[in-house]
Amino acid sequence: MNDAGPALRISRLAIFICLLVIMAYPIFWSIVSSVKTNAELVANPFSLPRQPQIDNIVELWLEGDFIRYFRNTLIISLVTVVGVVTMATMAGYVFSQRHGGLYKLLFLLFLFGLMVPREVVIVPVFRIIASLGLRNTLTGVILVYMAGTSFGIVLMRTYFLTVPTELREAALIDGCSEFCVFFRIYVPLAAPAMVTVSIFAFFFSWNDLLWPLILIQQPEWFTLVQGVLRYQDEFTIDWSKRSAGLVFSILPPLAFYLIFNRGIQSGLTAGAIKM
Amino acid sequence: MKHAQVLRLGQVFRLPRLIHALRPHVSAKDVVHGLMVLPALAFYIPLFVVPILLGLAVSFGDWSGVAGALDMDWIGLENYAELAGDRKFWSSLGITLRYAAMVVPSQLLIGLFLAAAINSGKGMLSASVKVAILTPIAMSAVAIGILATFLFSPQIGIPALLSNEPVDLFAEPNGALIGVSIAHVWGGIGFTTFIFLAGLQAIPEELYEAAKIDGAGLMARFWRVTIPLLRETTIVNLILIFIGAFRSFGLIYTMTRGGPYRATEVLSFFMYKQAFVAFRMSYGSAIAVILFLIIAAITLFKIRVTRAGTTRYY
Repeated sequence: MNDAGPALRISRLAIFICLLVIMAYPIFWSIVSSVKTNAELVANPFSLPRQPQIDNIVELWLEGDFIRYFRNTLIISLVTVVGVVTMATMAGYVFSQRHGGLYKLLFLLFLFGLMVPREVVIVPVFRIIASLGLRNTLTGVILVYMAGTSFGIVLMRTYFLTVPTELREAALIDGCSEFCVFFRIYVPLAAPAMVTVSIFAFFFSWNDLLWPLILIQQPEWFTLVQGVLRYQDEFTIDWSKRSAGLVFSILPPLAFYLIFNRGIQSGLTAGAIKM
Repeated sequence: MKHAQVLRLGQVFRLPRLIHALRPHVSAKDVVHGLMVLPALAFYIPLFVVPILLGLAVSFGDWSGVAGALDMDWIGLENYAELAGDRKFWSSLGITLRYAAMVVPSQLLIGLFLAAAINSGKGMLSASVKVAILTPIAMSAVAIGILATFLFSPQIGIPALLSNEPVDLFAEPNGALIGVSIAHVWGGIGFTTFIFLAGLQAIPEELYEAAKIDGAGLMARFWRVTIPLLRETTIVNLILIFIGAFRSFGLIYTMTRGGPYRATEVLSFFMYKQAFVAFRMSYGSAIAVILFLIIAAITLFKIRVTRAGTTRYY
């Protein structure tokens, strides 16, 4: 359908420009709002800043709370990403090699995990984490995130299935052990899929609200999402300070999104339709 | 003396023979494979599979969250019976369905429309639209909710731009639900569009060529070729959007906290409130089980549709 007439081309252009504005403008607007004074923001919400100032941002970072939220989220995300991608790569590899018996059953069990909404498990998991004495700890949240390997396993398995078996056989003839085949042949080939799994694990652990909300009540251990929500409640009239908090909570994942856009686009449809 | 005794002990246990007997069955490869699946299982089983069963168990009891889960009083179906007579539950289910009724058609139609537009275009603009439209996937529901709250606020948002006496959307029951729905569609439209795009790209170009030779115009080709061949993708998308809307929690929590006057208290928020604000953990679990049953029924339907279809995207 690439032979559209001029009228269609123009309307398509108009739609695309509208769309770019609708999708990008709110983010741009929040960045602009964070470098205005609150008085200016309330007086002229949609103008560009007369005199860009970074007082809000400096204040935000110097106050201490925000750095603590940022650090908590960073720790949770880093550990989750490394853990999930390691476990998913190993398990996905095994499920791509073994198709029978117990392994088939285990794979179906992981697949089942994509179907079950987590609302079902929040009460028992809350209870388990509490009985381990891990409420109000980052460890508690990390443990819960480590259980979320289903998507990564499915994605890695699908990817590993496309690796030709000749590579594996040649390596085995050369005296490479099973472990060596995995590390020397499969892992390097799977780098793009591992990046995709890491990015999704990062987005999820950075952005999640439900688990921190249930497991963490002490402000000391709040994640960034909780911190930003707290600002909404506390600085009701200081819009520009709220904008500053919002902007710095979304910048890291947005940066990763722009860098790894291709891997995200391909992983998205693969994961969604496959399940 | 001692040395000899140790040797004899080893013989008693026949360790070498035991190892020898096991060897033909368990190869080094089996051990490696087992060890590689173990870490994922070590988290998944205790923190997901077991909790599913526990969640089901808790919903048949009366548990406030204080005592050990299995020391609670078993009250059978009482939670479910109470749920059936709870007007708050039914109104919450109704709100969830109204929310879905607003989100699903708009997200589906806009997504289809945008996918068709993006698929027909080439070059930089089309590529940057693809990047822009998926941006919300990197954002939390909380961040999306805050952005929407700002932009809909009578103080600094679009209403302030439009009139001198701006309205507060979130003061009105219907307005609040509409406001959250718009934020929901903004956040989810990229995902929907990408699934439609995958479906569109799976349609062979020859079909369009053949239709063109037969004299079909652009619109005729869209209605007669694209739409019928997208049937399966549309159903998948419909179900994914519905489940997304049905489980919406973060946006509601951020934008309205269920208000005004419980007008936006969707099912997952109602469940959260019962379990973690009122500390009626068992009652909350019963709501979660209902939520699960609804979603499971829909998902099974989706699996049947995707299995039955001939198009394979993977």
